[in-house]
Amino acid sequence: MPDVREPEGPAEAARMSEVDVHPGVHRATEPDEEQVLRELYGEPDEDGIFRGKGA
Amino acid sequence: MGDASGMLAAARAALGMSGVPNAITLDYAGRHGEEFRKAAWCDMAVTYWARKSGNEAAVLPGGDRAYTVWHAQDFQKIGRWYPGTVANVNRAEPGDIVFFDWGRSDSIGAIDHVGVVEKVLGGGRVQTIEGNTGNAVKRRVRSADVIAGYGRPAYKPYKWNGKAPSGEPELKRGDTGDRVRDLQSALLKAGERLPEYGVDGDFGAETEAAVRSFQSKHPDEVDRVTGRYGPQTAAALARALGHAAPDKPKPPAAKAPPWPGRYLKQPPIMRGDDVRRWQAQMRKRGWRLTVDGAYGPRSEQVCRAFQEEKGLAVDGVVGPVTWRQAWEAPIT
Repeated sequence: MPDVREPEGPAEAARMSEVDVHPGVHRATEPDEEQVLRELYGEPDEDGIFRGKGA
Repeated sequence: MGDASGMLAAARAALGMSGVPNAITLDYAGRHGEEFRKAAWCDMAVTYWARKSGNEAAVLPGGDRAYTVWHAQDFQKIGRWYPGTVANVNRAEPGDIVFFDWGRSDSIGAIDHVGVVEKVLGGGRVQTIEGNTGNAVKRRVRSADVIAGYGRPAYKPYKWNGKAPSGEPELKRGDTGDRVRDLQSALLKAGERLPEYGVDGDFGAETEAAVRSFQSKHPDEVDRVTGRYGPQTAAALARALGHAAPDKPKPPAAKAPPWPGRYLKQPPIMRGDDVRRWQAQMRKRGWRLTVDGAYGPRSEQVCRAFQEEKGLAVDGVVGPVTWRQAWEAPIT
């Protein structure tokens, strides 16, 4: 386990290929996601973002 | 800000941000190196929201993070890590930092993505805000199946100030944060019920039902039962709690009776009908005081508090002015 206080910079940059890799990162993983978000926030905008009235 | 609602407000403000480089990656690259300009940015987003909302210490216990595994380990090291079991996910709170492993491993080493919990949906599910999901900041619904665990930032603890919150801007379903907590606390104090979720800072169906219930009981003060919390409902709720609405102080109850001609004070304890009369009036105004005709330490305490509230000379003695104000000053 790396020391959490070690200087990030290059050491952390070397790890970035391990972040946001799985396909699940970029897609819905719950079949009713759109329905749930629509109930909470109304219709999404043209880019598919559920902003809600207050956002 | 420095609390969960501030963290979530910062995340909401970024909804729809997309592509790289963007404000989030450029901010991180400015402190940690150009190689982050176009790197995977989910955790850079969490770092950015934490810094924007004054939550660095709570959300980033090991400092800025772009690598999700290290960020999760930061929480583990300070004892604020909760594995992604269904039971734990149901106990998550808005503002928690949620990490994903996708394979039901609940292993920190397998984490490659992170977001912030906006709502806890029950059934082992949360609704999140995530950076770099579909290359944008979006709301998602995630279940314990894909959650490795979450970190619980040590946000500033919430404490209710005992008052109904302002009705402007209006609070409604979908709102979250400390104003909602204030409303929920005030509704409970006013006798409404929040049996399932309690004071959770999330204006959901239960809070809406409680607002409707309260509104339906105050038809003289609230025009319509809407389930939304605006200025009329705020004024009614303030009055129900024994506080005058800020814009409409209660009129004085009556003209003061003549001052009895002696100063009520202690020690020694003074007794008499004049004391009893003053105590009864103070109780009528909402002060907790036994009406026993004896002016003792508690009577003096109430007197001092009342004098301070009304901007009078604070001496704990009921003289002509304090006597008169007990009847004629607005109840606030």
